[in-house]
Amino acid sequence: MGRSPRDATVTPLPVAYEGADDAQIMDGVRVGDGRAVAALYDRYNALIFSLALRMLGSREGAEELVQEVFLRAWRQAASYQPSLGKLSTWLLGIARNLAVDELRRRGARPQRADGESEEQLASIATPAGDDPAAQAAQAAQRTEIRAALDALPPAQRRVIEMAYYGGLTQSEIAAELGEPLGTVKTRMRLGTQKLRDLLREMNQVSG
Amino acid sequence: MNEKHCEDLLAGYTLDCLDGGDRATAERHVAECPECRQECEELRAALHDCLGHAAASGAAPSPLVRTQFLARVALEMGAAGATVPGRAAAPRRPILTIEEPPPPVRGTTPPLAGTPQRPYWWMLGGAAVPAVLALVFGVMVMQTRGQLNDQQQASVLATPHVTMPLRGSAVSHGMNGEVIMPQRGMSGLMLVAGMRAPSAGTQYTCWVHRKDGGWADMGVLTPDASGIAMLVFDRATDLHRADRIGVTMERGAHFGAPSGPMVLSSTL
Repeated sequence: MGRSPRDATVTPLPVAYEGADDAQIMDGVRVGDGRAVAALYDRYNALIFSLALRMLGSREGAEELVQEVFLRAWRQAASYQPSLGKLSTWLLGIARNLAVDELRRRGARPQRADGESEEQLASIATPAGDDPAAQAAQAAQRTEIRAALDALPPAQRRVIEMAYYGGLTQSEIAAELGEPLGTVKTRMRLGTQKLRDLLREMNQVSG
Repeated sequence: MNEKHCEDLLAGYTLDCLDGGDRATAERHVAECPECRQECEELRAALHDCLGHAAASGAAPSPLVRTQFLARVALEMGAAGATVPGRAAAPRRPILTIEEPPPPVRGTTPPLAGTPQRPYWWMLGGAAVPAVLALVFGVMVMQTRGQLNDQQQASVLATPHVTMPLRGSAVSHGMNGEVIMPQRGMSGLMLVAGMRAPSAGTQYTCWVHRKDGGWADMGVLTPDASGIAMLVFDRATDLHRADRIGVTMERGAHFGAPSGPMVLSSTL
């Protein structure tokens, strides 16, 4: 006779990494603390999912990619060096590389390389966590980033977005836009440099 | 290569959008030039910080993604013999095994867990594996509770629930897992790991055996690429009235009763 459900375990919510900074979480991940792995996922899953959704255009594909990104982060935790960049940057790099690989493997192009409305994405997304403070912080950060992107000349922004989100090569962008390859290269160079400079200024002001 | 050409290449290299010849040129140059390598790192960080964050839409993946991810991590941790990335691997062994529980001794409380195995060291040292599996999945489920308001699993997870390791004949098939059910009420869910992809024309079908006799079809279990499957029982299912859960390999129609080989059978 099996034991009664009442004999089984009811587990409390772990709080060890509540409020921990990224470095503490990654220290925990490196030593194999499952709570740290969960905290890493909880902190960044929405960010990674959003990027994946934008690049791949399907909820199913984005969810698969989220899982793969965090598995790689867990497996390669030892290779993350805080001195070389933020944790979010590292994770976004993994996600973007995987998404570009997937787009090129499919031989397909994203449904939203640029310019589509966010309402379209919202229709296939579920809302992120309901922590008002976190939402406010994310909103403020997005506003700053939008300002930086809006500061780019539209033509420069477009080629960068087509490459970053769409995984298009320079020659593919040139063909799609009907522009000379040299023009695309120049716009890309000017745009990326300007973005870097704008972010430097933003970091100096906020830091 | 002049400076402008170099900068053009670096921007494209950073965005991973160079065509063949340019890519090879950039790779060679970046490998030899520390300044350009540094420039690439800065540009790449700026792009991710800006475009990566700009994509944030407030959307989140399904809570099941979290559960599956943590289950895969848990399995990898166990499969690696309690090692962590960057450390030497211990001998590999399954993270969990399901064994027939020893017969209870009259007058004593049945053991919570079966034969003690490797402790699930990162969650709880020294515990018997099935109990710790309950902890692992219990933690995962509890953590997702706040995200499940409008999900099918909400009825299970929004109320106090219990987790029970699957125990029974699945060990020969390498499967293991957990049944999670509300302390009171209907529905529940089952997680199974270590499932092989079903052979062509067959599917895993989950059954519960009612205490008053007879099997009830709970639905199809579909393992993902990592061999993990999850099944949410419908709201009419009362696992408290069941004494056994099983999984068969069915081929075609089964007319409401198991007809294929039983690949997992566990007491509840």
